[in-house]
Amino acid sequence: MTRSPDGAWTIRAASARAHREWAAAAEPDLIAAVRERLRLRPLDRSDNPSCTHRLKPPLDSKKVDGRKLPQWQHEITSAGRIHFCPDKATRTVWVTMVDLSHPKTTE
Amino acid sequence: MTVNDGIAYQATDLARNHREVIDAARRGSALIRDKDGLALVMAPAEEARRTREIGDLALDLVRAASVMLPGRAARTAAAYGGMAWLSVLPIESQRRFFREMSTALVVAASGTTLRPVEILLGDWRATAEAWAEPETRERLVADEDAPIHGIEL
Repeated sequence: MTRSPDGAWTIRAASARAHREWAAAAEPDLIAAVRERLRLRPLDRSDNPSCTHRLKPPLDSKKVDGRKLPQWQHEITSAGRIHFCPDKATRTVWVTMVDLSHPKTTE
Repeated sequence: MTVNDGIAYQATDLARNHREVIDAARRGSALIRDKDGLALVMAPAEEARRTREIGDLALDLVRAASVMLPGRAARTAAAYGGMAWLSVLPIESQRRFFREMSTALVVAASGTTLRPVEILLGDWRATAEAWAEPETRERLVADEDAPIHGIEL
């Protein structure tokens, strides 16, 4: 696993579904801001203690590729949430779920 | 908020010695006795707000804790009062919340900032919110066995 030369974290999808959700996020500006935050300071909540949360049991950790990692949530909007598992050892942010709570389309 | 027990000012001191009264209040609190004997306290607003919030949270916590007691029959959301959101979590998590919140409140009451309490409360509320949604819960507890290594988001 290679590290980013500027010390930034690498953001990856923890599943194909999470990857699709990230790609399908309708607000490009919103995702761009989230990407920047996760890349530079995924664990920092000094400026937004009410928006970034480290989840508690029974959702406090999750196995990603066999590694047990802490599970965090960032509130993108009042209804939008992104869940991620930061791996400090590799400085990788594994995105596990993107939920913008858009109205479901009729299938 | 600590009450200055050393000096009890009179209502007339607000006009005659207002600087002294205000300085005492700024140092913590100033006790002012009105003409009818009623004792009033002047204190920094932020400190008063902090004390009130700690009290409110402690009361909510006690209410919620009484519902968590073993043998309690009905754990309805309403029984949890201001912490009704807690009712969706498993009882083991609720008890852990009680332990963590109790410690955080005791530390805050000793004079430190309320920020750790607010962060802790936010973490637990976010957990309860996610746990309450069946699809979100299912996804968040599931192991991820096939992460995508080759693509950077």
